[in-house]
Amino acid sequence: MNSSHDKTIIATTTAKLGKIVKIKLAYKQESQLIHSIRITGDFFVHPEEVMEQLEQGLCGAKLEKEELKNKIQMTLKNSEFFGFEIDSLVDVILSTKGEKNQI
Amino acid sequence: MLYLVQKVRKIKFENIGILETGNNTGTWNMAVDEFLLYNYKEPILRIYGWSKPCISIGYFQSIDEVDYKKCNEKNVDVVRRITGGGAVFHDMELTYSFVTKNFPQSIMESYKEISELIIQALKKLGLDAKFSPLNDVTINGKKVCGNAQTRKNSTLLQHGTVLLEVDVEKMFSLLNVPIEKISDKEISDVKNRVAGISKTFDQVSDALKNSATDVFGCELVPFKLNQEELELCQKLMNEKFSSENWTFRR
Repeated sequence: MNSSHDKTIIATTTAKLGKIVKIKLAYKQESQLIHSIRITGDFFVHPEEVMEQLEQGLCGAKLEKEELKNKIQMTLKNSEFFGFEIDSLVDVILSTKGEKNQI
Repeated sequence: MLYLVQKVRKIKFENIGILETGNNTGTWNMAVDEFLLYNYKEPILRIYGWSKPCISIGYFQSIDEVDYKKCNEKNVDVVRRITGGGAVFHDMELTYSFVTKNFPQSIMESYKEISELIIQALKKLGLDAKFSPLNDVTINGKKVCGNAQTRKNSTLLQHGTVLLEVDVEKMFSLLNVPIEKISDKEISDVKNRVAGISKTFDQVSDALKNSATDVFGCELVPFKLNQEELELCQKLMNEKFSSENWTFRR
């Protein structure tokens, strides 16, 4: 497939997990690859900089449960976080690509 | 038989520097907290207030959480913290920060240990305060104090606010609440979940200083930032906390 024809979709969603988690996601419609992702909210992650590493690390990842879970687990393995669980974060990211969330 | 039970706290200090910086802007307040975090090995308890109302947003929050235009119109500052957590409307409150290299490694345990400082201070004021994990202090189930912490270079910074009076309606009028996800009932719950303690700044400040002596088994030593340190705080304020790069980074 010619990637230039793979349309980029931008979508957002908000979920109340332990804390509020908001996702802003840009992804390729055909290949289902993440172009960029921003994860915001009132949660805590220690050390904080890991969240930027996670967002960068998810670029190019497929919007598929196991791949997202593995990448998130790998990035957060030495971190402490409060306000979400990895499984619920994966679910929120996947739910963002629904048509109703497109902006 | 009467048994006197002395709770054994894990954190003990010989001395804590007590830094009282008065009322300042949000950007200055955050700059001083960061300066202390990166530059002090000795434990410091800072007590401060706000020279004008300010909303601080958490490290991970989007600036879209705040109605920035309305804040400008209402002369309310907006600043991003170096700590996680939610948006806080700083107005009628006492704020503290505590910097230490001696702390429990468990995040939960460290919140609990340091929040004891607030709980004992409020008890001295006749209030039945309790620790409410992860990071709140409550009285009769209502949040009166929220706390947040970060750790850098083996140093912990915890800062938090003790609400003296609360104007929840004003705070909500300055925030962009995601109405599509948060129901009216949940907004109402948040409004009913916070309360001011109806004490003065000086009352809480005195109680906090007494509490620090008791809780951490230490002497408080008055401490001031020198001119060079103040200039470094000024630089941090100008280059980081006042910058759009920092405030609008998310």
